[in-house]
Amino acid sequence: MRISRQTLLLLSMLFCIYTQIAGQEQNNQLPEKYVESVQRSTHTNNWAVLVDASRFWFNYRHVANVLSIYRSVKRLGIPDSQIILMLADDMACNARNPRPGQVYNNAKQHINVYGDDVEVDYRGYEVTVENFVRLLTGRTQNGTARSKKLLTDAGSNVLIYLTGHGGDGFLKFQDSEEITSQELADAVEQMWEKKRYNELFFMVDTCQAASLYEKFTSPNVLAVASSLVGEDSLSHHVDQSIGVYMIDRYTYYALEFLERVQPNSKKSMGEFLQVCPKRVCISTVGVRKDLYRRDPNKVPITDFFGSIRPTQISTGRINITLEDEEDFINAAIAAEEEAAQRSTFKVEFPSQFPTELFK
Amino acid sequence: MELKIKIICFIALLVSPIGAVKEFSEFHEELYIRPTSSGHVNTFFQFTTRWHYGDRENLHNTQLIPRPIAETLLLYDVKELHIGLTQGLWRYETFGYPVVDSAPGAEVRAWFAAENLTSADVDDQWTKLASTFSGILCASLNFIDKTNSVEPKYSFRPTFATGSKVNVPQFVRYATLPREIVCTENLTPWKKLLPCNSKQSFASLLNSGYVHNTNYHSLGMKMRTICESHNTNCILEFTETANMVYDPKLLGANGDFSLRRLFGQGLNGHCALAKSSKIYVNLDDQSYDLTPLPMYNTTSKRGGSTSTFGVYDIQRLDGDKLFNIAWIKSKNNKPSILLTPPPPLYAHRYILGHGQERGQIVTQITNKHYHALPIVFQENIPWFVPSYMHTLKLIVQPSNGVEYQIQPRVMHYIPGVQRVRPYHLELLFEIPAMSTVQISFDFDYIFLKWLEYPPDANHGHYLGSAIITTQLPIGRNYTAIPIDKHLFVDSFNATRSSYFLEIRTESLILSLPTPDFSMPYNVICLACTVVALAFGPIHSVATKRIVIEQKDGQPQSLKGKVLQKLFRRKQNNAGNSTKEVEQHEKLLFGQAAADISIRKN
Amino acid sequence: MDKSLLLLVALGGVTRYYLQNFHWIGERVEVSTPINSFKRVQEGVYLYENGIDPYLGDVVHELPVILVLLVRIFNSISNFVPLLYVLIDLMTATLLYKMAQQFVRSKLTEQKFESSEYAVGTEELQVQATDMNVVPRCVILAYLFNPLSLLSCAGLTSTVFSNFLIALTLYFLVKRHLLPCIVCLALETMRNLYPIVLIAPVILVFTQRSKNTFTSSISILALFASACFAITGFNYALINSWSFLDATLGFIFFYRDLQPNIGLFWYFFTEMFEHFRTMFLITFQMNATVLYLVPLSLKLRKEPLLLATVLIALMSIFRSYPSVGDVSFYLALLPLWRRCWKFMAHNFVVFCFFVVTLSMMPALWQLWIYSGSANANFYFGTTLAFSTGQIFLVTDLLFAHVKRDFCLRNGLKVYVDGKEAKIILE
Repeated sequence: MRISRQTLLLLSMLFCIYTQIAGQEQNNQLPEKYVESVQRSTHTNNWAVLVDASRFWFNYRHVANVLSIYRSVKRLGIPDSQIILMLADDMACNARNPRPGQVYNNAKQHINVYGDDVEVDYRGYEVTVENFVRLLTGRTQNGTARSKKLLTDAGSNVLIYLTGHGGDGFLKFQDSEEITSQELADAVEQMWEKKRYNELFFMVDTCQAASLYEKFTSPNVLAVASSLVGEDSLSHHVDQSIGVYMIDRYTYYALEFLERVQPNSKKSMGEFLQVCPKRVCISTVGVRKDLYRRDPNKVPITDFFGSIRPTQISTGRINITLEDEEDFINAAIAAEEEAAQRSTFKVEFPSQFPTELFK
Repeated sequence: MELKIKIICFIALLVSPIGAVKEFSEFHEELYIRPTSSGHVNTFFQFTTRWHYGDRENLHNTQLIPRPIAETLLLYDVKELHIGLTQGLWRYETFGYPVVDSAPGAEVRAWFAAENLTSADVDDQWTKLASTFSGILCASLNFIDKTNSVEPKYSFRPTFATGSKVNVPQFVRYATLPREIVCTENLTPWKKLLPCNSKQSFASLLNSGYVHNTNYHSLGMKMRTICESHNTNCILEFTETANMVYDPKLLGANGDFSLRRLFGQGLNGHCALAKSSKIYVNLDDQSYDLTPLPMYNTTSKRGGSTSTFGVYDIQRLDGDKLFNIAWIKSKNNKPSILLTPPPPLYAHRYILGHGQERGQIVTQITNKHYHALPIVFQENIPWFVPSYMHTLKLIVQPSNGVEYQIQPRVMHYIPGVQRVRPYHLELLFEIPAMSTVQISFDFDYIFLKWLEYPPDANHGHYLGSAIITTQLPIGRNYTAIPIDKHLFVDSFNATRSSYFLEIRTESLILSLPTPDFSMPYNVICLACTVVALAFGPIHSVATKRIVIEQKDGQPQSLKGKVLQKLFRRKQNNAGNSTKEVEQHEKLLFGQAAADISIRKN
Repeated sequence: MDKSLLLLVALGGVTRYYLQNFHWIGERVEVSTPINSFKRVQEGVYLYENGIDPYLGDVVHELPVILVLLVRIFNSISNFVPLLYVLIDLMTATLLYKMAQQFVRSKLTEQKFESSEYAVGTEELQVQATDMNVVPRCVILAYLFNPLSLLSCAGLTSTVFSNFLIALTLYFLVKRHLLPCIVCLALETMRNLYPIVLIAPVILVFTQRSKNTFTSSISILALFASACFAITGFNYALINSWSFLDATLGFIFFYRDLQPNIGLFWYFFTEMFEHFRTMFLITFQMNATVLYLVPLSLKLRKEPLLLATVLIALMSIFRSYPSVGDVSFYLALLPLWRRCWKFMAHNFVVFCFFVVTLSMMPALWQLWIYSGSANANFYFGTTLAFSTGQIFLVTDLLFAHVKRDFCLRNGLKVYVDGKEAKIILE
């Protein structure tokens, strides 16, 4: 009896140990379903904030940079209402531009990145650090037009693209003020706390670009920069006919990549992060993945650069014709005629000139 | 079941006609092409939507009118709104008068009317309205606020009708942003406001590359309400205009031009929603042959001048081919002699003076008519141009005769305040026949805070154009649409007793003196140092007392002096016995006090 | 006043009247500031005559009383307005002369009582009978023929009125007429804000002989306040609006116009960071008014007129819109302290500062504004140096006074242990 009790105890102990070990083994790997659900994007809408922070004609390339990205995201399906485009200066209709209304990414004029239906939300003097931070954090002033607001929510995937002249830890706006990496990080943190994004892709093409994402602490942020701290980002080539550099190297190759992306393509963010290796970029592209939960190689590029909405087509029929359609149309025509007669009503307009004061 | 259906039908029948009566709208598209006396070509597009919406509640259900426009009427008490986005300069002497005049840059003008409306409400609504349209048109209209808006008293009169017998307070606001550029991003949303897709109909001719390659282009938007009685039975008129001036010589082909050359493509039909789609071609300049010939010609007699127009009704065209009209210089043409007389009134404006201290703004208004003309002259001078009205002079320079000074009949002047309000001047005077009036006044260049300068501080600051309004007795060169009508075709044969004319001068650029933008820290430190220079000695005089210090045998050599300076501290300690005693006493006293405090504890 | 003096006054007048032909003088930033420029007065007169509230805009900064007075004058004798400025300036000079005479006279009587306390061999530090003649003469000459005061009058600046009012205040102060003194001071305070500090010497003078110092000073303060209120009320009655308060005092205090002048404010507040602006504004205004008021009043309670001189000098250095007219006024007061001159060590340095900076200013202005080959920093540098020079002068005067006071009682040479000793401040 005693022995049996002891063995029972021993057995139960062994069982406990076994189950513990087994449990540990199971815990070593995340449940597959969980892993999958994390890898699958949960976003419901896409937004893009594209900023060119440089003024003056000789910064033509920065406008070309930002318009390249604009062109791509628009082509891949983000509507203009969900793209906030900030251009600090007008290059397209600049008096020095021999081709008004057009901005090219290439001296051979391959792509008119300005396009025929561009909508610029912030332009000229409106592009300030204050407006940019207000836009991100949603603290726009009372009375701001809807198209100038970033109306994102917890389900938004936001692409932020910045270009301009930068240094270690800052980016210049219009050559008169600058945003620091700390201010950027604070703005993003505030966005996160206000549930203004689901995932954020931060992309920056400027000198020492990597310094701008260094201070980020908010989750779900994937960042890529055209150059590491201590490196300069370089321009691609010059157009001798207008005497300015056309575009920067990193964005040039990013556009080249994005031009090959179609809305249904299987290209991943991982591939995009490989864009512009050092031999063509001259600067080293910096990537920051530690805040990002998902594996970029499994994230479709359209999660940030496009707006793909799966649509279900119903085959069922719904009849919505009005009863007595004939009568309705006749009545409407009669009403129109009646209204046409009534529209000649008499109103008096005041005299357009203060003639009385000249008498 | 049957009963139920019947009831529904009954309701539908009852409701729908009323709804239809109240929501009756029509859309017209017009294009007017006119070669000017200078060899340029003026093309003017007008898209008119007129909606008899009836009651205010119906504004929720828009059809042809774009939704934001109707919502604007619901949100604000705005009754009339004009927005112009213009690049380039309209040259009145050679181009004649435009159908719609607008100032370089952005220009906004609005009338507000409602019961119990106060000026403060209007100021608030005005900035919000400008901000709204800044979003709609992608322009920086949100920079419009109290610091650059004026309330003209004589220049503008309402073209809307409230239909109310009682006096409803009416307010007008006017602002210009002369720096504003006009580019594709403005054209795109402007086209989106049209009921048809921008790829179809007349709007398809407005391609950004061609529009912005012109000598002058101006996008306009006008909205007004006409009510039979207060807020009921109303019409909303929404007009979009695009006015462009081309130089056909730049388009190649020795002065010949065609729709395809001007706009990059032919016309691909008309808007299906349009009630009329017509192209009007001015035939007064005989030096061109048209192919194809107009469908019919029409003659307009207005204010003593006669014009002939060729009309193409696009809705009567068939086929999918792109429609094109070509103007070809006629071969058998006599050498063309300029017969078109210059317009009766035009104006120019300049800044005089050199340096960045004092200047003078001079406006010259020339009357080529053989009668005196009444003039209302309006200046909206930004707050950073402090002007001195005691230097205001109106000098008449007759084309033959000696010049003399006149006094304005009425002067309305509101002095500006830095950073708060612009200077607003309105002058009413009569300009004698065949003479020029020169209006001049002095101003100072002022200094702004370093953060108030724009990023491109040395580009200069813009002054918006002055507005000159008058009433012409003749209709020469005059193409504006009469106030009670809304289509361009309505300006044909519209003879009136007088013709209200609005012209604008050039905008000006002023280069204000700038500080050194890299200096703030240095300046703050230096200025504070100078203040400290005063504070230190005065503090010494006020707090210290005179002490006698023993003079030692002073070494005369330089080396000795330096040594003395170096060891001065030491000598101070040794030499000044009085001080030491005092310090000692203090020390003792201090200790005693400390002792006391310890004991207390 | 004897004949020769009258001749001098006439000569001063003629010079001023002649210089008024040069209109550019009134357009120099050193001479006319937004507060005192004749152009703005003209604008105010024009607006008032055309029924527009002159204080609606921010061009006019003159008190309504003065403005209305000027409107009357412009209407009746518009051609003689420049002459009016000359006359007032000459009256200022005469008042200063009378004031100086009275001052020396009272000093001499004062000395009689105290002469027993003076050390031997300090005659050269004591006021002499000859000073009765020399000091007032120096004062009037310093005012009449100081190039700065000539410029100020030739430029038709309203500093001419300010100087006249302060001269009146000082005159009544030494004559011990309380009421006119207070009224003049209140009027000038309402015009220019800074003269408010002169209430301290006024209180010191008029409480010297009273038994209860505290109550009498309170009553003087109350009198001053009521005079200010009365003037404000009178101005209000003239134009029926309070807007003039902000256009005069508010405009001075908040420093709204950044036009360069000879002071320290303009570039400092041009380059100021917006969020520090209010703080520095208050600091600088305190510095120009109350900061030195209490310590100096305590230190110089025996010499109210020296206190007044120093306060006027500090005021014209640190005020928000200083002009050369202000500088010329306090320079004219310096001969009163002739007996301190022995101890003033920096005379030469200060003189050089004045000459160099005042001649550099127009040159650098020309380079900056007209030829565009210099920038604001150059002009700022000279104004900074000019202020420094003036500060040296004032502090030097203060030190000199302290030393003179000491030496008057202890002899010119002090011996410790048989050796000559130095006097220092500890």
